[in-house]
Amino acid sequence: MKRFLVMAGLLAATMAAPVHAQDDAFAADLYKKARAAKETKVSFYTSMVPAQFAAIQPLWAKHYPDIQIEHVRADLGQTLERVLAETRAKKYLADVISNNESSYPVLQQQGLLAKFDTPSRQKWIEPFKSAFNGVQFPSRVLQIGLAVNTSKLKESEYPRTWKDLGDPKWKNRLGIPDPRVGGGAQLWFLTMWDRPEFGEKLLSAIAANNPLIKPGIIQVQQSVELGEVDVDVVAYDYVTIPARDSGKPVQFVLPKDGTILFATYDSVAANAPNPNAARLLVTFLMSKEGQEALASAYVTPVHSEAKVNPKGSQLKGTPVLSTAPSDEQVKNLKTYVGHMNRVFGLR
Amino acid sequence: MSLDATLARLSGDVRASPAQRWLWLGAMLGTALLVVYPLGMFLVGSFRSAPWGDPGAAWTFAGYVNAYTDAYTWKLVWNTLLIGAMTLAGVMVAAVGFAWLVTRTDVPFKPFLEVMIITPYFLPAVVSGASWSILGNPRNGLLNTWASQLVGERVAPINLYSHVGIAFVLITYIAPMAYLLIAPLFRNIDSSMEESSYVSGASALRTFTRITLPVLAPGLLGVGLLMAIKSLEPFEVPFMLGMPSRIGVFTTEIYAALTFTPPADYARATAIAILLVAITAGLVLPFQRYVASNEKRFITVRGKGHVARLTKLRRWRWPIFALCAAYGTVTFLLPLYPIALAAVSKVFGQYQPDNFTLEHIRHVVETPLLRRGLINSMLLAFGGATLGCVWAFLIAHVVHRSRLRGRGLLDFVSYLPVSIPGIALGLALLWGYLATPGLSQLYGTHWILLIAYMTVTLPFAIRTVSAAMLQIDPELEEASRMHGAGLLQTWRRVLIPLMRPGLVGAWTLLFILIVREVGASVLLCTTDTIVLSVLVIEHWNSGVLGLVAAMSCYMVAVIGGALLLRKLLGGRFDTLT
Repeated sequence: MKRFLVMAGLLAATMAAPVHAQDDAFAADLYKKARAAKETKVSFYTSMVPAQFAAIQPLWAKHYPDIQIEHVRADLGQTLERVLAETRAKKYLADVISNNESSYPVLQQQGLLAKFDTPSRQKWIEPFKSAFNGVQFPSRVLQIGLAVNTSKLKESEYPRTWKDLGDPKWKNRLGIPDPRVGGGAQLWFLTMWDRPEFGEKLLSAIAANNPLIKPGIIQVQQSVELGEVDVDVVAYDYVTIPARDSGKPVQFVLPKDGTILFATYDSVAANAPNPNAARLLVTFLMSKEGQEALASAYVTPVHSEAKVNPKGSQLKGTPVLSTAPSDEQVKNLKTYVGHMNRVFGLR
Repeated sequence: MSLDATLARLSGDVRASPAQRWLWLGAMLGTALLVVYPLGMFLVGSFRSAPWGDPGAAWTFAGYVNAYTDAYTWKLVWNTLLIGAMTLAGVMVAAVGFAWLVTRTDVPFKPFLEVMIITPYFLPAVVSGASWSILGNPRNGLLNTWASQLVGERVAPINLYSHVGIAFVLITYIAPMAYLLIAPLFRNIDSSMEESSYVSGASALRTFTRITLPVLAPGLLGVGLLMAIKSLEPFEVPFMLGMPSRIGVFTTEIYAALTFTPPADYARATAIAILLVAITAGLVLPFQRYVASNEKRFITVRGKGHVARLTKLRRWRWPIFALCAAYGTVTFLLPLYPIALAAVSKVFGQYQPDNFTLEHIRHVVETPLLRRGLINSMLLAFGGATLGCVWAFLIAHVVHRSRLRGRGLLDFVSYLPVSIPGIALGLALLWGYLATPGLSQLYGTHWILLIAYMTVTLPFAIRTVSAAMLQIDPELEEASRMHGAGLLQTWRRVLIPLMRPGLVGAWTLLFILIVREVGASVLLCTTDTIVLSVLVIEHWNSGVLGLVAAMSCYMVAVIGGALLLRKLLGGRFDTLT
């Protein structure tokens, strides 16, 4: 058995080596082409938060010193508006455009994203590997769970499942980001609504607990930190865990009945003024090294060989309830928004 | 026909000097390009199924039909008007009271009182909203906690997640703007009538209500009008404090239509925004007629010299000071407390000595991007405020000192940017600038931000400068011209020196508005042109409260420093404005 394991390990190492070599060679070739084409910058239109950018930037500068990343940051809705306005004016400035399931259809419909592939795709975790559509690279995957206030709740009192939140003991103690705003909160609602084990019954029970509704995940997390509520029903691991590490009284809880892996994607712009640099940036972000750098900012790595941050949330077999809204959900989003309004009394 | 003759015919006033006609042409073209065109595109968008230029867009009334057949829209109308009315009333009472006390009475510690009333406006609105939420939320707000400790049982007398709560917070941060507009009006009135009142035995209060206020009524009406519009269009505070109680207003709905669930519902957003434009028109047009037929009533500076003597408050001096200090404590020190605490704490709300740190404060100046934001904000605010004042002066001169064609329209159009909420205005400017040859070349540079700031702040600049100009008797300029001075010399030697308080007030207000501006900046700035207000929003969205608080402290320092510098250069220390 031991001999078999050693053999299997050697075989795996032999198979992995060419992928790394391919990755490096692919990136080196893109860098060479970018330099030949005098591409000295890459405009990255993104929602990547400063902490994540700070994690990748030094590494990029070390490998590709001749190309500067222009970090044009805004939320994904504003990024979309900027790209659309520039497109209407035929002023193409973006090289790499961040998007999600909400903004992607608009960008794709207008032909603003380019097809591309990287050798590292062979090493992505599922379901992202199989779901790859040739355009969207899931560079930043985060886990959705609960954030609890540790000075108000003992560990034994933490809610451990989504279903726990329907218990009347949580009346006036929950906080929820407005699910209409989009992003993770919206995906959470869609997932809960459409899964028979949760559905409208659980959402109505949570609503009956009179949750505090705030505009975004960050605002609800702050309400938990400040003790305004005890539990944030939709928390991002990359927000809660650094807060915990800095001494704030919060803890991230991964519900036993499943998590949602919420991805933000990066895509090469179809009209990128620096196309080689754009491809290089995407390749870098999806590489083992790039994903490890992002993991240091609590992103869940998509590259299967990238080291998971030991201080981050560990999936450890937790069921994944969803990673993106289905086509059907995207098509019927207005109907779902109606459900959100009705269940949580948002209008 | 010569160019001058053509211009004379177009301008509709053959008696105007060539310089005035060129001024008219410049003001008209500049306003058309920077205001009418982008806003026009936005308004036309309310009748389109997709933004102008998008393939497949069709003409439609769907946005209006959907918006105005929806009962929720009328609930928004009610909420907006209710909060707006309470805000306006509070803003005008606070601003007029403070302006009178600081400029016309012997109340002690005037610069201190000015700092108290102006400073709340230096803070970014999201930070101010968050701060008030920490203080006044009904579940565990600090004020409620303190009240509970005081009475020995759990009570929650304060709930800022309410119509009254939202209006209160809006008052604290709109009143400074009104103060900056009103104080120069008070500064420029002749006190001889007030003195006659005192000689006749009237009290300070009676003189204020019967003499000072009526004299200033026309000017105050203009400011009140602007504040009425401003009270209807704030976004961040209703968004943050209204949502927990499901209180929506126009601006939150416009934001929802534009940013919730892409693609943006432009038709709904613009259809709702049009109602704000209509309200603006409904207020501005009668006011314009009033100004046109009562221009003489606005004049407070005439040919004879005037002095502004201070009203003696006598035994009320200290009680009134205490009242003002209490107001300042509530509106300035109280919200500043959580922000300052967060800026120097590792973890907010913990008071152990090892929890205090200067890391956030240091981080801002040591991080190149944040340092760049700080510098860009200062330079753009300085340039934007200066150019904005010049532009507003030129427009005001055409409107109030000529009979040239279209001057009423020019005045009306200059109000429009204030009627459109920040995020929608930012979008309109982005669309307009990118579609304009010349301006599109400036996209991504500091210049486009400068132009955007001039557009966004135009309504405030024009109101302040117009009010100052209307206070000056035109006969003074005519006398100068009759003695052979040209237009520029008359401005330099007569008009500008007399308008100085108003111009200084306008510059100050514009500087603050620009440092705080978010709606246009977030869509127009790049890494190189990043500004502090956008960095605050970005870090706010990342959840780093300490850093956001530190940046807010820098923002307060930048604005406060600019005011102080201006005072040092101006050589007057009695008041800040």
